[in-house]
Amino acid sequence: MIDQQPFGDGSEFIDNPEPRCPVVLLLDTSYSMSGAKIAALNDGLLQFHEEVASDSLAAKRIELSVVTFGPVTVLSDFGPVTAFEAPTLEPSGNTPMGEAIVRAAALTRARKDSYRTGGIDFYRPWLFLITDGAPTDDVTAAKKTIADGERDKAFMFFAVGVEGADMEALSALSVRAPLMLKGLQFKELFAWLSNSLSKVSQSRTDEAPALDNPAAPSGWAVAGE
Amino acid sequence: MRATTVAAGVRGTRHARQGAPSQDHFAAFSAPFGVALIVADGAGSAARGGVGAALGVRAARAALRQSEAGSVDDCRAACEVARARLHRAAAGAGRPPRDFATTLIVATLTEAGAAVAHVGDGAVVAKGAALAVLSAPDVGAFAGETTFLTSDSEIRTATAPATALAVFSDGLERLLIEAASGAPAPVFDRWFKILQEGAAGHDHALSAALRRYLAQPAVAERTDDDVTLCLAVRC
Repeated sequence: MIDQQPFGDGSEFIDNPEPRCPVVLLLDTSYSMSGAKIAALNDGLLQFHEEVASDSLAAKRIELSVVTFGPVTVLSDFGPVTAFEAPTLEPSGNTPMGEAIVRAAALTRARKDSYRTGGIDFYRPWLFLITDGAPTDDVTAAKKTIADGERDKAFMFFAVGVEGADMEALSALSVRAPLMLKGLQFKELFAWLSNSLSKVSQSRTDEAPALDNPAAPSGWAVAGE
Repeated sequence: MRATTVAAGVRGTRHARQGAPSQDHFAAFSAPFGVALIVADGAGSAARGGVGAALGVRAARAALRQSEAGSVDDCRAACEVARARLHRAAAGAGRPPRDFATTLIVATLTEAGAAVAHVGDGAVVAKGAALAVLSAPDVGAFAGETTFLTSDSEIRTATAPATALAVFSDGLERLLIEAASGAPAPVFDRWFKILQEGAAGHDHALSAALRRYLAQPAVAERTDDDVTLCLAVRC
């Protein structure tokens, strides 16, 4: 007669660290974001955090960092979603987008190094930029950082323009076509982001997983320039 | 050669939630040369990855049943047959081969020991003098990245003097291989002992117990992926 469970009870499993999926939210907090825009962005951030945290496996794997501009401030360095507190953003200053992008790429690089040191697997990092303006600083270095990062598959860079954004400037900056947010559909944007990150953080593929097209008629974006 | 095989697969919670079928497929069977274990895991990103995995296992099994020696060359040849089968299926469906993307592990246990041919992730553990990973997952720079049979990736092969063999899909990798050292979990020793007490040929009672084991919450808490485990022991 075979035991009810001869193979074990799970205590024999090895507890390896979960693979991580680092995400940097690059958020424009310049004066032009004042009012309804920043309020909608704050709401969206709160909802994003709740959604990611409620997906238990995604919550263990996604690590969030928030970098705001301007001025460029690392509001939170990478850490587990469970420990993340959605900030309440307040508009101030101009739009040093170039500096913010270079900083985000450096944070990502450092995080990947620490994963490697710790023997932790990781997914390709996401840099996700939201702006309603145009860069007020020199973006030459940022442009090269993005081009190199995409070419070497070191990270993926996404740019989303909110009403008033200079889509031509975003196009010039990003390898991927930027997207234009419909109205103030930040909630829809962040729902898409958490859903996409859940897919990515649980994917096993040699290609990017199939993400919902945000520029579909029901999506939150229209394709930018 | 007298041997026992035990095998089971359980759909992961992610596919269960989506109402999608398991993308893992497997076979465990006795042959004149000894026993064979085959595991395939269809790519989640591929439109017909699960179909590719099922076709791959079937084609490799048919090829290996024709084999006399169950040698590593025969394992490799079975992978080639499976690859050709997927290309034919893709051509027939008017789709690109990557739509049928799957990993494939073909392993045998004979008097001569263990042999494996392997494309992609998932892993093979063998026990000779000691437990060791005979074929490790092929992983890319980032988590979740691997190679597939349809992308003309290299078929990796390995042999070892062994009397017991385990083949499993990537859903179990992180539970059964220590990431830092690459060493297999000690529990394989205990599992192989259980098989030694099992029935000759395919032990259905133990396979049912293994299925229950893989379906327990302790597995689902650690992975939401499909999980497949095939074991074989020479008695």
